[in-house]
Amino acid sequence: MTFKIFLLCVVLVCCISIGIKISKHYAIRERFYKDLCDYFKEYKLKVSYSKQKILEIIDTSRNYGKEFSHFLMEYKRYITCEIDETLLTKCNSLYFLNVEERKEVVDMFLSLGTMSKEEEMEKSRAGEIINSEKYNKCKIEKSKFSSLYVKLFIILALFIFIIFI
Amino acid sequence: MLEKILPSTLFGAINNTPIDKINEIRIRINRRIVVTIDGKSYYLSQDGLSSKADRALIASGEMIESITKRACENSVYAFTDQIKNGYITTKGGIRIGIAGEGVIDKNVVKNLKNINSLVIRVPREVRGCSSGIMGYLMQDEFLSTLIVSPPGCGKTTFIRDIIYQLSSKNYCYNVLLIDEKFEIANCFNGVPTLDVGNFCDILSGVPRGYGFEVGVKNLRPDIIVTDEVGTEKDCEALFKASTSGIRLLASIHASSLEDLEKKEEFERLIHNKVFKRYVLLTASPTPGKVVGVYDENFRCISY
Repeated sequence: MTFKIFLLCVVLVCCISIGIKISKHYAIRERFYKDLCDYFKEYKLKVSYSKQKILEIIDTSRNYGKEFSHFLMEYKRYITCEIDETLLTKCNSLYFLNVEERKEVVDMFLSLGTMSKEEEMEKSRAGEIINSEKYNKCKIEKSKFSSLYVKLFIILALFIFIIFI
Repeated sequence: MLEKILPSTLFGAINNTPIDKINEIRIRINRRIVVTIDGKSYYLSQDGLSSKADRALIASGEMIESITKRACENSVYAFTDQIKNGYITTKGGIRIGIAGEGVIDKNVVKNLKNINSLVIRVPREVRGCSSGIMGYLMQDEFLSTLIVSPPGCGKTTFIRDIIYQLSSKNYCYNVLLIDEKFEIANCFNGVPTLDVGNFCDILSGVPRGYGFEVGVKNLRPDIIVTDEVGTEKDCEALFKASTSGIRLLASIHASSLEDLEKKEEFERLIHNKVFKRYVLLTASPTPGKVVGVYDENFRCISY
């Protein structure tokens, strides 16, 4: 009996963990797109006022969330030629995005710095708009599903608990 | 420095050459890569220098694109002013001359596209290369001097050393360096990467006219230094500065003093004896060789 209760507690903890993990996934996506919008704002500002180079912009950028900072570091390694384009495309730091979204983000960053100041400003403005739409979508998704998944998995855990008790 | 801008395959080949002695690397699309060392040109093969054309590495469009991208540190927008003027100056003072198709808008060159040629010029710090003539440039005080030579004869290296000498001998001159092309001091994030001594204020990446105006007003220099003057505006700025009691050190492209006299825009400066000393340089047998030092009347006073 004690073993059974112990096992059920383990199941309970696991279910809640899975629920929290899924809900975190939505939170990470929301924060990432928010950081992306902020980065494009920062990029636009620093390019327009002082034509700062990309490496300087990254080095002096404000503190972003863990995931976006990680991606920026990967991007910096690409800029400094430590890794090539294909490796950046496979970027593991974007695990929470699907293949299309990942490609979109990487392509956006690969196209940065290749044109004149005016065109870069246009690009960053477009980047800001596209990503703020994504951010809003992620925000809605988070409010919809984040707590829902935690609750669902708690219910699932309790359901298993009741059935086996 | 070169490893930062060259793709790994090309740098591997360059690494097999006497890398410290390279003056120039010429990369032309679909043509053999040429390296110049001490004024002599060689083909670049995978094993290093070669006199055989069939072993030479051929430059591709991707190679040129990659070098340009690396030289711009992936931030082309920060270099468009330089690119439209036909060059990129990288960290470490490497100057890349570029050729391609001009993008013209209202008769003004806005940019260069489809870049097809690169001339990578590696700067050298030759400490003491101007020591032999410093005595002729000082007469109680520093005399306004013009360094005259054709391209590739070491004008920039010479000027950099004169600035350093002025500092190291503690003449206590406040030197204002107007480094339009980032070639002399090569400031990176505001810090000079090439040594120009302790008494030097540096205005980098600004047009000479602006540099003279702002510098004279705000930095109170004793000597203003600038490289490769040539336009009417430059000469006007030099003349104005000279009438403010500031001494000048500048360089100009010309193969002889006769050539210099032919430059209409320079006539006023010669006529008014703005420069008290002219130093003529040649690339033979090696860049930086002094042909002669001349006074304001073009009389040879040395060599």
